[in-house]
Amino acid sequence: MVLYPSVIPGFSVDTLCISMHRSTPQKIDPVAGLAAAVFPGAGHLIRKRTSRGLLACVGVLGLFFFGLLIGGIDAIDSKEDRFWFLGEAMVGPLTFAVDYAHQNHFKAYDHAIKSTRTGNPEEHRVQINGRWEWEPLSRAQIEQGMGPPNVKGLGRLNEIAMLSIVLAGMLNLIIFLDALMPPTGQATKRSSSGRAPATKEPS
Amino acid sequence: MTLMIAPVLAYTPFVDALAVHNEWYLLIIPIAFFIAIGYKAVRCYDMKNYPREVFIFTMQILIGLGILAVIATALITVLIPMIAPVPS
Repeated sequence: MVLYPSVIPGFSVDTLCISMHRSTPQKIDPVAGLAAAVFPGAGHLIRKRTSRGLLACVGVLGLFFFGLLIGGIDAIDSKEDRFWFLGEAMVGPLTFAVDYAHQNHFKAYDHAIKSTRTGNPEEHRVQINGRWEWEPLSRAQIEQGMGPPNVKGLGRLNEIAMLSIVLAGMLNLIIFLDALMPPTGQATKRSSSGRAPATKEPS
Repeated sequence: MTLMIAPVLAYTPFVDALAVHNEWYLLIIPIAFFIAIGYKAVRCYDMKNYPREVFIFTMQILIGLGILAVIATALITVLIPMIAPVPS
């Protein structure tokens, strides 16, 4: 099929070339990429695209903390929900920090399964010889309000919570790629000496 | 033997799971909104149109999921029982 752009109002060969150029990968900016990998939106902040960086940060962290709000800290679990965690890990070091806190400050050892797990409502954490273990509570202790440090997320809500955090990770991957590869306008400005950029760089 | 009882907390946001089991379907609204905020932050060419594009994208997600829900409901409750009725 042959296109004749000149016959279409407001359309020219130049605009066709620009639109084709936009879709091609641009020069890689490793510093911005590294910053984006460390914290959502930081890559855009380094590249002076402040509003985009802040909004990207709000989007990713909004999904992340919304997932934590629904499912609690149990929504991030590298041991019990390994495959979900692979998607969640794309949010960055924040996920690993929450997972570390979950594994070390909320779980305890269970002799029956010879591993750590989240506590049941009738248990509490006790430290025995330097290791946190689950110990059954008496009825009186339960009535006093004692229990495990967190309530385990179950069923549909736990799935939605994990989904929200995985979506945060996938969104952060898009934002990371956008920070790693500068926009067309900026790349054109760098490559063409003495010529005005073909497109206006997005703010 | 060292015995130390861990501090016991009541409901703590971001630590305990939220009890919204009956309103689970409403949770898609903030999720769709945050996706639109983050996605349009890097895919909106002119930031003047950003709020409008975020709103449109949020609605696209919600309406798309709504249509999928209607199709799935029709498939499960009408079509499949017609094709393969459960013997009584």
